[in-house]
Amino acid sequence: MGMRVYWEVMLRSLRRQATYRGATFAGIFTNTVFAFFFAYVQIAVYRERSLVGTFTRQDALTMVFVSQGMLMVVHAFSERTISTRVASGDIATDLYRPIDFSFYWMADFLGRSATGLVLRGIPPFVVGVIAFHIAVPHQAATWLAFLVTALVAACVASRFWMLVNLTAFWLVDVRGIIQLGTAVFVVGSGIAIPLQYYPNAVQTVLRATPFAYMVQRPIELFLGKGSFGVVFAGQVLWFATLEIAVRRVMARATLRVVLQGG
Amino acid sequence: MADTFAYPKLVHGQIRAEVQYRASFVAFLLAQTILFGTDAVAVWAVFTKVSSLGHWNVRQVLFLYGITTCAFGVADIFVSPVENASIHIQAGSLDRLYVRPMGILTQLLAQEFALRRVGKLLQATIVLIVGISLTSVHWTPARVAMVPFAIACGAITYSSLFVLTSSLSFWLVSTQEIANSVTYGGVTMSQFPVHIYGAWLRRTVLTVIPIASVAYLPGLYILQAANPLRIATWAQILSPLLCVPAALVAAFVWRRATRHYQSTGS
Repeated sequence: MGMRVYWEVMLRSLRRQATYRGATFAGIFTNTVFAFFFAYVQIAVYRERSLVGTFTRQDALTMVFVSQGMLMVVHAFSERTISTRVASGDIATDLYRPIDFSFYWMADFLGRSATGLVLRGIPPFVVGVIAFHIAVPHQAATWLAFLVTALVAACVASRFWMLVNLTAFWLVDVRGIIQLGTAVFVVGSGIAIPLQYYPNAVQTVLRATPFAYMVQRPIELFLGKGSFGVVFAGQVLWFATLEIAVRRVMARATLRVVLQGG
Repeated sequence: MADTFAYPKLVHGQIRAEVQYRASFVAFLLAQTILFGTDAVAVWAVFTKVSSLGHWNVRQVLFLYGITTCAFGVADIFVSPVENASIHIQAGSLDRLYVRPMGILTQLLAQEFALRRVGKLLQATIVLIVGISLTSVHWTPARVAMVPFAIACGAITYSSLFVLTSSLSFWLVSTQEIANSVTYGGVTMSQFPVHIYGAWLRRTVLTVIPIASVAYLPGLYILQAANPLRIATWAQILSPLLCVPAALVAAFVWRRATRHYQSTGS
């Protein structure tokens, strides 16, 4: 079967996600409203000073709108597909399939990420361009670097959320853990506030976490800052690390699965 | 009035059920506290780079944050379960609530009551206390009284918004996210002084959706902070009372919504 099956899984997940038009519209509305709130906070900051870290006012405003657009690429809030299936017992069917469990869910995740990037990413960006004149990269290379790292960011995010979700094999109610995961994600990725706002020591730590590689660092490439090689290498490293962790946890988790026939 | 007696009992049952899984309960409580703390982290981070925002200093903004999140926290504990109306409508399980001799709203609020939501309020209270102890306010009896008055009225305002936005789900499907932008958006926005926002946003929260009356306007009165919009003192003092029309509108729309409801019929 090879890679084909994962591709098909991804396409179907993409199509399924794209079907919910009402929800998509509502989501776009909400992301855009929040982007406006954050944008005005940035504007107020830049009345007091002209640079925060290396970010100009326009950089900061661009980051606000692009990060809101990336929320559904990395599923920053409460991704709980797998834990729901563990709780319901459906996970048994998933484990039964003759394909790799981990990559199966990554394909499903990436399908939703792709929909998220196009349907949930572009509209807020366009609004940002119109309302706040945010930056539109001129060079094709910049766009390419952003798109590639955004894709890898989705892969890394899928590993992180899978790891968080797998705790469902041990805990009855994983909502708390998932919320904790969301809190760490939102702060570390720069969604709550761009990382250059933190004191240097904190910033250094946060920039090394996988979360920075999922939102802030790809956006910096979008702004023409930072090097593609560094970001990409960091992403690959985090992907590999998290993937190994997922495999280890899976090996232990599957030992706990008890199928109840009937 | 069966509702008034049944509600505490149902809530009591919910709480007992909830604390059965102690580890999950503690994790969730902690998560609630921390997740909402991320907003406070953002406020703190901003003020490591600037000394004032819209001419308000960090202590004043933390005070604002404390008031609005406390009010939201109270509404979240008692009234946010109304959000489950849309889930019940989609699943068809709302019908079950109609056959019981109790108000739909009471049932929804009792059924999904969750003690773990106290985490948010806990976090907000800490920030409020920090904010109050740091700011140099000239306390008069009226200003002291304004703090609980603003929080109580704010809780009513947020509760009304929860009910109002949930009512919409009787007519439209998948409105949850739009509802979030009013409720969660409202609390996020009102953590900063309202005058930093664009004109149309400002006008919206000063009039149509009375978010500014939760923390900003009473905050102006208590803190005597920079007031570039030149809002009159009487308006600052009376603003929390906007929760009354908000509650009336919410009650009216909820009534219309629950009467309008026609099951899927299957």
